[in-house]
Amino acid sequence: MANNNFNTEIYESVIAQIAHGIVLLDSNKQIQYWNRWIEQKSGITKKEATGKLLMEVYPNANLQRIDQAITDALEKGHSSTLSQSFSNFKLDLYSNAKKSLPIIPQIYVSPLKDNDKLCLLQITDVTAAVTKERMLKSIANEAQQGRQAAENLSQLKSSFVATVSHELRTPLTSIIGSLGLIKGNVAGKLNSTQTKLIDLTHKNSELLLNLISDILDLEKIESGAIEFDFRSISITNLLKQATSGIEGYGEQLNVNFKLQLPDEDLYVYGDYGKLMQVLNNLLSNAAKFSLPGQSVTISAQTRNHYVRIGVEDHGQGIPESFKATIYDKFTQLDSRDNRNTNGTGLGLAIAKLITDKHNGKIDFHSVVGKGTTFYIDIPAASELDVDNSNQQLNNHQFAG
Amino acid sequence: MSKPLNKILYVEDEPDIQAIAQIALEAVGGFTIKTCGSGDEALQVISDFAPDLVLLDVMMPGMDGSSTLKEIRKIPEFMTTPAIFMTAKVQPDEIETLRSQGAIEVLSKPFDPMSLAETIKAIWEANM
Repeated sequence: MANNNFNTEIYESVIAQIAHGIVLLDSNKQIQYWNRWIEQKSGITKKEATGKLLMEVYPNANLQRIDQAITDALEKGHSSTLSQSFSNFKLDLYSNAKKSLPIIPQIYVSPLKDNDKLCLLQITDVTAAVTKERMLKSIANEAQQGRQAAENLSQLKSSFVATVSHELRTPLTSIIGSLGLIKGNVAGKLNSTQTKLIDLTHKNSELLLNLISDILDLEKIESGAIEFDFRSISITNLLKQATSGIEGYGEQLNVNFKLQLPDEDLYVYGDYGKLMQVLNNLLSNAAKFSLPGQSVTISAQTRNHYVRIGVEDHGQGIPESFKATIYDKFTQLDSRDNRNTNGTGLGLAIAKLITDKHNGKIDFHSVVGKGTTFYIDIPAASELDVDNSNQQLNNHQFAG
Repeated sequence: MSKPLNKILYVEDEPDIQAIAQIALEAVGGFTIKTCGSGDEALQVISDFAPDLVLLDVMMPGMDGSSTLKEIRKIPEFMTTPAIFMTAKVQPDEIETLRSQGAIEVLSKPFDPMSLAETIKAIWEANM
């Protein structure tokens, strides 16, 4: 057998060389063995340690837990693992001769398997593992704190945007009102230069107001601050109102709107005001990108469990390069002759957000030079929704 | 109600908006306007002013537009005086609710100052 080739000396040097502290105690708890690792880490030689009690070697260490563990091993045959962080003992062990780098030890105390009169202490350097664990804990803490901070910041941003928008809107409304009166010669007849300057100021104030309103809308929808009032909505009513609301704008641009209603009215399950906002955005975009004399067609049809509302123009179309970012905030395509500069670049972002909240879809197809059709798919109302909505409406009227 | 519209009692808490609407209604529309900053003030002056029409902002601190109109309706001479609400809320059901509270029309804010008088005149004539 290979065993025969090894003598005690070789075993001795294996144990001596092992990268753990090996200490053997007899039944009187006197040190019988003290390997090289612990000699090096403690600075106490085998000769100095042998025959002494652990307490004598380490008079300053709080060894109560270790002593108890040794007693348990010798008397009851129990094994235990002691780590410094829980047991509060302090062995002076260092990873360098200058004793500047302390070691965090973990001690495994057990009766020697073949001789229960002896107790074996195996000391392991767990400094790296403990340090790593502490580092991970602190990283996790920081991440947690970071998440919390981000959440707080997002809430702060929401309420900031809402407050600022409201506070900006109030004075702007007065500014626009005053400019409107001056522009209408109410405060005296304006000359042509004054008219030009007031027009410019009025137009830009309105743009600013639109921007603020759109930002406020986006923020409210994104943060869930406004609840959607879902009920059954007649497509005929919705499209008729949307079209009549945009006709004035169409007249300014010399674009007319054609409404193609289905033979039988369709019903969707949605928020009337919000859908009106989407349609208003789509219709004003269509008018903006149409040429004078052209028309925009609004249509509705059933598509599986959805109603598809389409807005078709014959304008300049959407270039390929613009398609990927079309729903991003503050993206705007210049209309051909730049005659309308009142866009905020938020209309489609809002339209997408609103259709998403309806579990619906917004999409388009477009051919450059031929025109664009935007469509939204909104879930059709079931008969149940229609009944409930009528019920609600009746209750509402009684309550009023 | 066969007489032409002349005197309007206008209740609005925001002083700048109040000033703009007053100019719009007086200078553009040629109406006689009495402005009030609150519902309470409106109730104090209404009997002396004896308006043909009451124009009420909906959202006001203290007594809002609806409550003000309810109080005005308790005064016998003004039980049927036409009233118009002005509001930034434009949801159709909210407008319905306001109508059901006794207003002949609900106008949306912000308003166009140049067409405000004309709009009110048209509403008045439609309800004659």
